[in-house]
Amino acid sequence: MITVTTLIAVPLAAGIVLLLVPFARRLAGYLSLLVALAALGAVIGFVYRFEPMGGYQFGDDAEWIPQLGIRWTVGLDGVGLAMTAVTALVVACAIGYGMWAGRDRSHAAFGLLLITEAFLFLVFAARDLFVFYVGFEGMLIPLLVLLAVWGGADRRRAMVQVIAYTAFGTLLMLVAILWLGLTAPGGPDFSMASAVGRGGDLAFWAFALAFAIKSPLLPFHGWVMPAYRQSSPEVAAVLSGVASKAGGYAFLAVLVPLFPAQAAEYAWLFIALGLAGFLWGALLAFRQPDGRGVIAYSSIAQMSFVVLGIFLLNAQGATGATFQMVNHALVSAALFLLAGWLETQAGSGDFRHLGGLARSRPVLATVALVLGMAALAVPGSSVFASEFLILLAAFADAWWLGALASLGIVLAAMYMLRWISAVLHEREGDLVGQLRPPDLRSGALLCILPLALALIGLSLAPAQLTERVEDASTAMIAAAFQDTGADE
Amino acid sequence: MIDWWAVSPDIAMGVGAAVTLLIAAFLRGRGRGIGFVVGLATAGLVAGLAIAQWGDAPVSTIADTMVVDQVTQISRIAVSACLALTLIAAFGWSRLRDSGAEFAALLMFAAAGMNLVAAASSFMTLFVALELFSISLYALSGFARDRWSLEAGFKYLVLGTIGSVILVYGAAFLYGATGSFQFAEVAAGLEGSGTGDLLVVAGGVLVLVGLAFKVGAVPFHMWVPDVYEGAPTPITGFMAAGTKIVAFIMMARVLYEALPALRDTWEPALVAMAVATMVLAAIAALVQTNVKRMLAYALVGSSGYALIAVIVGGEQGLRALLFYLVAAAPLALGAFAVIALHERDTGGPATLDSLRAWGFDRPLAGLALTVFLLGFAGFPLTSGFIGKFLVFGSAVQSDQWTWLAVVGAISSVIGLGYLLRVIGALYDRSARSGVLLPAAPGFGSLNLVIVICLALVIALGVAPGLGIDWAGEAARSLAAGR
Repeated sequence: MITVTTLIAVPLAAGIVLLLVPFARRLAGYLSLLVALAALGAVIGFVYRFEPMGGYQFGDDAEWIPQLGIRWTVGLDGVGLAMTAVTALVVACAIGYGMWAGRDRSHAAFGLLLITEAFLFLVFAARDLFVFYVGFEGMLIPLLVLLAVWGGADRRRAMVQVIAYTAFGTLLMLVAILWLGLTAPGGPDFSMASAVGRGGDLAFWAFALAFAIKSPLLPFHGWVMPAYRQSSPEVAAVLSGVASKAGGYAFLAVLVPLFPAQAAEYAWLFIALGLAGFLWGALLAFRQPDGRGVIAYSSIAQMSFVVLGIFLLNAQGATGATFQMVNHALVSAALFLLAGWLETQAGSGDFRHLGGLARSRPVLATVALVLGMAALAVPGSSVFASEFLILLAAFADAWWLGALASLGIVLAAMYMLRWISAVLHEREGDLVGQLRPPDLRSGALLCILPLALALIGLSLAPAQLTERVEDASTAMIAAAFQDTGADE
Repeated sequence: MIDWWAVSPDIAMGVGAAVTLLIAAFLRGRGRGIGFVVGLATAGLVAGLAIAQWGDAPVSTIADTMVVDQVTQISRIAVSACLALTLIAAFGWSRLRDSGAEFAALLMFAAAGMNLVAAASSFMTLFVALELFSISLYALSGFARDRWSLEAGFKYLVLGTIGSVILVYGAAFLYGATGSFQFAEVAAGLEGSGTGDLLVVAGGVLVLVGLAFKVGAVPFHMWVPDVYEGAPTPITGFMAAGTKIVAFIMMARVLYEALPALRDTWEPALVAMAVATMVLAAIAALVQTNVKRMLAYALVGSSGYALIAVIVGGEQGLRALLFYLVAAAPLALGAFAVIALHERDTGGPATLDSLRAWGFDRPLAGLALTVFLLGFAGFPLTSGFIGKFLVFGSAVQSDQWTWLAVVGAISSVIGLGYLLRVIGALYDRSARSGVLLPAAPGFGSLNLVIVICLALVIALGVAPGLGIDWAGEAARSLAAGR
């Protein structure tokens, strides 16, 4: 039987081989796509066989560095499974897009994407703090190289900002992990289970800072805009689609269960930051002059909303946040790929040069409209379902909180409608006439379509996801929830 | 009484060096290949003997001036490995055409001296061994005989001698106070006579300054960038890997075996030096354009992390120290081997400009340099990460020094800057590299060194268990000695 270890090892090994061997462009593309699809197939197998109440599954537990109490402990619960599944899909689509767009030295670019995928799987499956750190820090390197080598003109500055922010967070987290692991009663033990409830406030803040930067949460979002703007579209899709989810996932699956007392005590701060980011990101998204800007700020807003959902510390909030992360991964990855297609074809993503694209471009118009509608949470869409869950949780907490969060959702509708209208309708832009091919056909469509279809699938059967996630997400916040109850 | 079995590796190294010197004298240029073979064979023999002796109980021998414990064995194994890799790396170097055997002989004398330094348990042995390896290294630094190399050799000679002299001066003060050069007797004497005496404090401070010179800790680091930049690149790798290990073993032995009573004097100084070294070196590395010089500052910075482990001390700290040093050795050797390759490729020094897009032309070397730099920065799955993990871990575990680990973490973030500059240059798409010279002689041997170092870096990063065990055993023998 395939375990998570295989799922992590295969893309990692394939990525390293691709990095080293200068395969021809086509061969490299097909090989990496094959590996990504194989990973996706394995994950679909996991999803099918998953027992909703069965705890951690498909895992391994083996001795790694016994001298330091480090074990290779991996396994997927419902939340990890959801994130793993969406990661496999997004990375496969990103590689497909890269093939279509054509990258120079594509074997290295695709190899790095596969390595990123492996480290992301590791983050979502890790049950040991050391293993978790390896994944959390490890994914940074391939993403940075992808940004540094294949990025836009201003990539150098973007790279420096990414590393300054994210490395700062993770290295302080490393000190906290060391403290937790080495002060374990009965010798060093880095397993997450043994760390539950042992950490003090300082360790809590070190973890929280790392995750807040990765998510990103206000006011640690400075690295996001340059990184999302300068990356190539497929890397931006991975960054905003799934890499940022590592932060959100870690809040829910690592921070809250490990530090229930502190999570309950400081939940108000994260709720406030989440709410502020949700409203502020939405307002800025509304003001952006280009497609990528809108998507990037909407990413900040949506991830803030996710953090808000997590720190409401109730069952609907946690399930809704997980669901919302999956939805947002699909939406933002698809939108970034679409924006990338537009930029490549038209030569610019600036709204001033675009517009009126709906005329005689039925495929593009349909895809953009479906994605736009999903992003603004039209009732019946899966995003609506997840946002509804979080709103429900917010209203259960305090009516004014629910009201403010609803305001953010209205703002989200505003910026997405503006994006749809700026791209599809209004006066035809001066660059629109040059589009070759005029409509969204060919490979690019094939890469965006699966993401849109997944969204539609989740809209039709949201219970498929929530019933798998519920048990795990509720368990994650249970201890912290009890702490809040004890306070009142 | 002399325990011949315990000292046999040192005798082997000394005899090998002497034989190579004779070969150099009698066979002149024709001795080059033989010198290298003798050097490699000796390195293998010494490492083999050290491994065979690993399980032996610690022995104090030659009138208690020398101790052969697991720390000594680690130094013998590591120094032999560095010697072998340096010989291989230097093999194709054009400068060696008519003086290859002298080169090998000098390297072996340096290795012999280094092993004796790591085994010294008396200031007398320490000084003699220190001079043996230092003088060999002064000569090796100037071996290229161009302007930079000679300048490096001369600077190293002057500043290295100052360091040695300060150390000896301090040892003389301690002798005056305690009547002995032997570490254990000095410690006992200080314990008995009290430590308030000005003579004793002055002696301790002078010894500490001398040690700080040798490990290259800020503010006694000024020789490091100049010497590392000017010396022939394989020699730079040898110094950065092997000498660093031995210098820190010397520091740990002196502080914990001879001067534990003066802890109140040397601890604050060491803490200040550790912080200054980590932070200033990271900042200084950031602004360099010459890659060798940049790496030199990165290595000064790594001394700062090692100092944390020295300060923490005890079994945990010393285990972290030994593992960190050994884990950093293949990073340094490998990185300088890549730079040597680049220098032969372009015929000039390695700068950020000359490295532009070079990673595309030489994929293996480019990837290797990237991995080595990631190792310096302490990224997971490299040996450098486990080293840093142990060092920070020992600091956190001591509770008292957690803040040093935090300072270390923050300066690591600053240090990432230079890493990015090099990687950014290596894979700069906008620049096309210049015309490359065809693969020069010696490429094969340099690539071999790079691959071996790469394998060691990954092996120690992914499966560090055995290394941690050995470092732990050695740390126990060192911690038990005081």
